Amino acid sequence: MLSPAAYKAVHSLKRRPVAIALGLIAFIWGIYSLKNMDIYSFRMMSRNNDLLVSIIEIVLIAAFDFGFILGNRLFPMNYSMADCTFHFSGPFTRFKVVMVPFGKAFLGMLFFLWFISCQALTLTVMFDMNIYDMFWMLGLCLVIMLIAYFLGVVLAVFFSEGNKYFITSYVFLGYHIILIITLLYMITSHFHVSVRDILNIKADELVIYLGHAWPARSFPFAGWASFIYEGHLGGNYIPFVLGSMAAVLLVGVFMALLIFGKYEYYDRACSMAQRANDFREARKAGVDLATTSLAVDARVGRETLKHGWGLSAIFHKHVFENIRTSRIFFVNQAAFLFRLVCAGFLLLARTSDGIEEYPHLMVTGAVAIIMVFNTVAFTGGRTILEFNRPFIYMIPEEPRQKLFVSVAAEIPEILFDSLLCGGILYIASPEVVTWKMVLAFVVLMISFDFFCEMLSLVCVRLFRKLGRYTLLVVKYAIIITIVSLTEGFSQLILPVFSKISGPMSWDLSTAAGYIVSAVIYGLVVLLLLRFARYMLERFDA
Amino acid sequence: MLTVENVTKKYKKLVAIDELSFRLNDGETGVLLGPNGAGKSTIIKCIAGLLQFTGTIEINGISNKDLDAKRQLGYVPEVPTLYDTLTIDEHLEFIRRAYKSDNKQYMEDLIERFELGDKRRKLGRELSKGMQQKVSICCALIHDPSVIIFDEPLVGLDPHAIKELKALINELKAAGKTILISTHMIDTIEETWDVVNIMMNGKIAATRHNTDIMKAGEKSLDELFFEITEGRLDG
Repeated sequence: MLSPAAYKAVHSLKRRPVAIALGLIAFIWGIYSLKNMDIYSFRMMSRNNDLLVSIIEIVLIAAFDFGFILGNRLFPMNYSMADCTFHFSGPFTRFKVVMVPFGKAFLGMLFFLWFISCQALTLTVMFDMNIYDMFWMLGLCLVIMLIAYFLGVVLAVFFSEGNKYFITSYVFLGYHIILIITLLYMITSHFHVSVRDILNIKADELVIYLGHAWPARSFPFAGWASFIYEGHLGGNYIPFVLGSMAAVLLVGVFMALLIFGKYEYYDRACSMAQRANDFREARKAGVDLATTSLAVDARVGRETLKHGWGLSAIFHKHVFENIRTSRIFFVNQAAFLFRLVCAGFLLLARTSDGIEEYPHLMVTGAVAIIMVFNTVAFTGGRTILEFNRPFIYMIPEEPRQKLFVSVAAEIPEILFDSLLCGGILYIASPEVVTWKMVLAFVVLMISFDFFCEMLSLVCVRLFRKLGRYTLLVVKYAIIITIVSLTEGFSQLILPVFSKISGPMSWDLSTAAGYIVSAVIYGLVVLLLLRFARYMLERFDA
Repeated sequence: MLTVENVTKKYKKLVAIDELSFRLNDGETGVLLGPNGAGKSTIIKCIAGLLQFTGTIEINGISNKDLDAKRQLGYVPEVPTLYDTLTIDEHLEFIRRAYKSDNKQYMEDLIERFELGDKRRKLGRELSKGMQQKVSICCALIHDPSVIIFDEPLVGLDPHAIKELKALINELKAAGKTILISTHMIDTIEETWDVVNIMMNGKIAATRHNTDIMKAGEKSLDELFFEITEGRLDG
C-alpha cells in the first residue's frame, strides 16, 4: 500500500492531466536541449576552463538562493490545513512531518534544473560548454539546492517562535547587498573603471574575475562547490570526495536537527495554513485577493475618518484609505517607486555613449517605460476592493453615483502621478521635450491611468472565476491590444491634422499624438464606466 | 415586513432557488433552516440585493432594489468582509455616515455590548474571525434598519457574544423589527424563532410556526428537520 503522502500526491496528480502533459513536454524539451549540446558546431569562443568554472559558480549561487528561499520562506507555508490536522496531531514521526512539504519544494528544484537545461544551447554557443560540464553543473545544483533547502528550513523553524522569522530574511538580504557592493568595488578597483563603465569590460574577463573573486568563492556551499568542479577539470578528485562527504553530512545534520531538535514550528505552520485557507474561503465568498495586497503596509496613525455624509462618505473613505496605505499623503507608493526606477533608468541611459545623437528615441523609450509601469501600478485600485465587499451594493445611493465617487477618489493619486510622469519625460530628453509635450503627456497619463483602473475593475469582475494568473494574462492581453490599437489610430490620424493645419513641428505633432491617444483612452474609460455601472446594477455581487 | 414571491435564482443550468415564496411580518423572527447547499445563503443574498434573480422581493412593501428599501435593510453576511485598512471605529463611522444616521450613541452602545471597546483602533485585517463577525453585526445594525437578515450569525462568536446577539435579536423583535436568520444549527435559534422555513434543493420543504410546535403532539423542530432532510416526510 502506498504511503499516505504518496497516495495523496498520486491522486492529486491524476486530477491534473494538463499539468502532467505540460510536465512531460517540458521534460522532453529539457532532454532535447541537452542532447543537442554537442551536435551544434557553432562556437562564439573557444573553451576556457576558468570561464566555465566561474559560470558554474554563478549558477550554483543562484541555485543556493533558490533552494534557501524554498526552504526558509516557503517551508512553513507549504502545509495545508489538512496537513496540520492529520500530520501534526497524528501518530507520525517528526521525519515524516518535516518531509510533507518537501515534495512541493522538490518540484521547484526540478523546475530550476529544467530551466538550466533549456539554456544548454546558449551555454554551448557562447562558452563551449559540453554535456559533461552540464551534467556536473546540474548535479552540483541539485546537491546545493538540497543543502540550502534544509538549511533554510532549519533556520525557519529555529526563528519561528516569537515571530522572529523575518530575521533570516533580513540577514539573507543584507548578505547579498554587501556581496554585490563588495564585488562592484573590487571590479572597479581591478579594472580601473567607474561603476557606469562596468558593462564596457569584456564579458568573459568580467565573469572569470567574478567567479574567482574571494567574496564569490566564499559564498556558503555554492562558492565552495566550485572547487569540486575545478578539481575534476584538473584531475584532482580530493575536493570531489571531500565535498561529496561534506554534502551528505550536512544534509544529514540539518535533517537530524529538524527531527531531534526541540524546535516548535507547528504554530507558525498552522497559522500560515489557516491564512491560506481563509484566503480560499474569502475567494469563494467573492473577495478577490489579487488586489488586497494593497493593504499590507497600512498602519493606524493620527488620521481620522470624519468627513462625508451619504454618497460623499464613500469618496472620503477611499481618500482616507489611500492616505493610510500610502503614508505620504495621497501618493501611490507602488507608482512612486516605479517613477524613481524610471527616472534612474532614464538618467543612466542618457549617459550611454551615442544616445545624444538620438534624443527622440529617449522620449519614445521614456513613454514606453512609464506606460508599462503604470499598467502594474494602477491596476489594483480601491474601487476594485470596494466591489468585493457587500457595502457598496447595500448603501442606499444610486449605483452610478456610488461608482462615480469611488473612481473620483483616485483623482488626487492619478493627478500627482501624471505630473510626476510629465517631469520624468522632461528629464529623459530636455533637448527636445517642450512644455507643450509635457502638458499633453500629463493629460495622456491621467487618461491612461483611469483606463488601467477601469479595465482592471471590469476584468476582475468579469473574469474572476478564471483564477489569478489567467486573469492577469487576459487583462494584460486586453491592455496590450487596446494600447496597440490606440497608438495605431493616432499614427493614422496625425497626417490628417497635418493636412488641415499645415506641416507641424516634431514636438507639436508628438503632443498632438498624446492628446489623440488621451482622447481615445478617455472614450474607452467612458465605455468601461458605463459597463461597470451596468455590472453594479445587473450582475451578481 | 419582508415578502419573497416566486423568487428563482439560476447559475447557468443549476437552479439554486426555485420559485421560492415566504413572508415575514413586522416583529416576526423567521428562520431558514436547511442542510449545506439548500440555497439559504443564496436567497439571503438575493434579499440583500447582491444577486440578480427573477420574482419579487419587497422590504416593507417596496422592491428591494429601491433605495428606500435599502435604507430599511440590514445584512450580516456569512463571511465577514471588512475593509483591511479601516479600524473598528472607522467601519462603524463610515457606515453611519453613508447611511446618514445621526445616532452616534447607538454606535457606542453596540461597541460596548459586543465588547469591542479595547479593539476599536485595530484594523479589519488584524481581527479574528469572531471579532470580524461582531463588527459585521454592528455595521448591519448601526442605521437602525427595520428588516435585518443574518446569514449564519453565530458562527465564530464567543459565548458572551452569542448570548448578547440572542438578547439583541429578542430586543429587536420586541421593537417590531423583522428578522430573518439563516442557519443549519437548530439549537441556536430555539428561543428566538416565530416561523421556520426548512429548505431543500432551493425550495421550501416545510413551514412551521412556533405556535404549531407548542401544540401537543407536534414534532420538535429537530425531529421535523431530520424527517424532511432525510427524506422521510414531505412538506
